Amino acid sequence: MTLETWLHEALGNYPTGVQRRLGGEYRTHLVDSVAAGRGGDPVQVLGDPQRVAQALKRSYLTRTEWDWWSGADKSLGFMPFLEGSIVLMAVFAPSHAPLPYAPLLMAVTLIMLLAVRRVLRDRPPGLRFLLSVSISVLLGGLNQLLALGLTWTPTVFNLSLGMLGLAVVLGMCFMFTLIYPRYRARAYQTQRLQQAGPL
Amino acid sequence: MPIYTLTMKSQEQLRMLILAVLERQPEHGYAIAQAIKARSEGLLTAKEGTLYPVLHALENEGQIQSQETEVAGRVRREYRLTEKGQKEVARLRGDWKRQISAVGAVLGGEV
Repeated sequence: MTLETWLHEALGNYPTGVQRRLGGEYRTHLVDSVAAGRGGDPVQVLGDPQRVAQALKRSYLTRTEWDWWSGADKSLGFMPFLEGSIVLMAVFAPSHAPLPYAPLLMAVTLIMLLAVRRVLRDRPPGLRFLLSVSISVLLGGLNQLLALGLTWTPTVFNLSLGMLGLAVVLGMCFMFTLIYPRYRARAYQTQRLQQAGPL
Repeated sequence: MPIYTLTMKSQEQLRMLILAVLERQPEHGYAIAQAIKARSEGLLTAKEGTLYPVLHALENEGQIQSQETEVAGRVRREYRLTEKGQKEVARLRGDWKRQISAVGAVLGGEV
């Protein structure tokens, strides 16, 4: 296997900044190996490129993830429609609550989601979409629970539905706390290399 | 021929070894790999490709920092330990000694 093939297998799935920085380091490493008389077979010296590709996922976004995060992915063009639909569902979720709670909850939800949108306006498109949709789903879920509580009649069906809703909301909070910080850290590290100059 | 090869399972050990090498002086990637091999008298070795993902992870965590330097007309990236990394290597060394001591106590005899 040539070095270029090895680099393609190890780094081909990563954005250009990551390829530039790590590609430079691996090239230098192999030159040092040859100079030390250890030979220049990349697999012998550097190991399995697939393992390197896998190990890099701990630190950097893949090319697909980066394109999505940075807004380069064409699929993001459809995201406003999806986002809009989810926002509408969150706003109308408490519509079956009794008066005057239904219009009050709907108005509060709408104001909160508009505020979220304003706060996120300068964020990367992928992050904006992720946060906006997550917060909308969370508010929609809470609204459902509130509406359910306001019209509460203690039946097995209502109790099951309430518990299910609560489990979904708690599950989302847990997943978001667990996954999002790591994803964001990887995105910022990738961005740092994307903005850096050549080695 | 090494009798023990560092695998992905022992990434934590590789982190510790890298930090320990950089505790002495700043080094570039190739020199770090060779230092680990030399200091362990060839017993510890890693497929060197996996060294850089760990170096980058350590850098992203702020344990080490890097800068490009020119040596003999060639540009290299040299890694050095940060203050945070110095504290981390001291902590890891303490943990490792406690582990060795605990295992030794169970095994008995001279370890």
